[in-house]
Amino acid sequence: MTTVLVVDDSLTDRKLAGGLLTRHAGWDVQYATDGRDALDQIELHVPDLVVTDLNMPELDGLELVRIIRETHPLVPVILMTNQGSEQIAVRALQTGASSYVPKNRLAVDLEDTVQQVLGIARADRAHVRLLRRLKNQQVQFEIENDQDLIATFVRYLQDALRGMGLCDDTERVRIGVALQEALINACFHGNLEVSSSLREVDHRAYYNLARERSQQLPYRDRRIFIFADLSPEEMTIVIRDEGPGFDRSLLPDPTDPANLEKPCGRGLLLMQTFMNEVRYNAVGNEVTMIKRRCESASKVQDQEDAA
Amino acid sequence: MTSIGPFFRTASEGDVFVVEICQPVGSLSDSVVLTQLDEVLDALKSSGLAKLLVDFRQTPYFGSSLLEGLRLLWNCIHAADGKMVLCNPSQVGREILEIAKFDHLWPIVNDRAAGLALLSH
Repeated sequence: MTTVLVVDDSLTDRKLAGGLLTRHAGWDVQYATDGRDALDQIELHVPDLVVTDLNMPELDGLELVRIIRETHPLVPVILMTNQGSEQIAVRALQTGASSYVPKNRLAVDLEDTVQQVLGIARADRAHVRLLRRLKNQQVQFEIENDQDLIATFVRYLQDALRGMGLCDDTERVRIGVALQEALINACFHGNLEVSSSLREVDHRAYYNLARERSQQLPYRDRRIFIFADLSPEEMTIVIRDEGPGFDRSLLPDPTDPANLEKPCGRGLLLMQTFMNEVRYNAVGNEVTMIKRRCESASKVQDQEDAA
Repeated sequence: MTSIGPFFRTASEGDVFVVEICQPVGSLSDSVVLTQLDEVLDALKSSGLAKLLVDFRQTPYFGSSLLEGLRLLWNCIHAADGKMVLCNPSQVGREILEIAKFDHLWPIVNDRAAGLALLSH
């Protein structure tokens, strides 16, 4: 039986939405009077889908969407919107709501929308279940010094990590930060050979030089080579640039009080803190970063399996 | 509040200049972030205010580019013999600030009201 939780502080609207859904055989409709009540009920029994009002006194629909996305990312949420709540609805959709139905169109659109979203959610769950069974994935990329490509690669790898269940969401953010820092080092300091010491003097000159060099030979044709080896237990990522490399021992310690207000070395510090291992080759143009499965990942996986 | 590109919003609250970071700022959009930060710096300078509150409530994470941005804002405030406070960082955000030891440079508080109160002393 598919369970749908209808959340609305208005008894009339709650009963209207619930009534429309109970007409569908196979859907069990539960009710909550506001966001707080919804969370209490989800704690006891995770529904297959939530249909919620946006404006509620205790905990509103936007906050409810945010919490459900964090705690039960595979449970889709459909919003019921009123005239005047469009802006908050947009924010809720950006936060992760799956769809919305205007309240004045519930009778026409709610059942179809629920059916459609449930179908997508089932496919998502099956996809996640399949990825949980993936034992190893290796990918290689060769990319230009293009910040959009770099950002997209970071998201790609974060999604792959989520699928494999190597880490929880917080850890995934940390890994994303470390990856960004490593790739920006490869691009700016490696391939384009722009030094942080210039940024210390004049940050505009630093970016202007990077922009100029991205159009000039030999910098322009240099590439970033990425190799990633993912398993449910460990991620290894190797990032190599075509610059001359650098000597880590020459980097000032950014945590030394004397250097706190200097711009050097913070990216490397974040990489070292967020990954289990960070090591460079002898030349200094290739970094290998390793992240091992964190304990909290197992907990998240158990929750998702239960959902 | 005045929006400066997608990353920053600025406002004055009494004698405090408030900079709100509106979305995740990674190192990857370095040049874009720094260009917009220049506009924030210009707005800060023309405000004539020497107390700065940086509000992170809308950004769950950031990288070294924003740390660099904070350093530049601090240079501006420091030159005016002013004060700077950070507020509302996420768990990961606070972690990043502490890794960079920026908590040694400026107070980090949980909400805007606490930040404004601290700056009013």
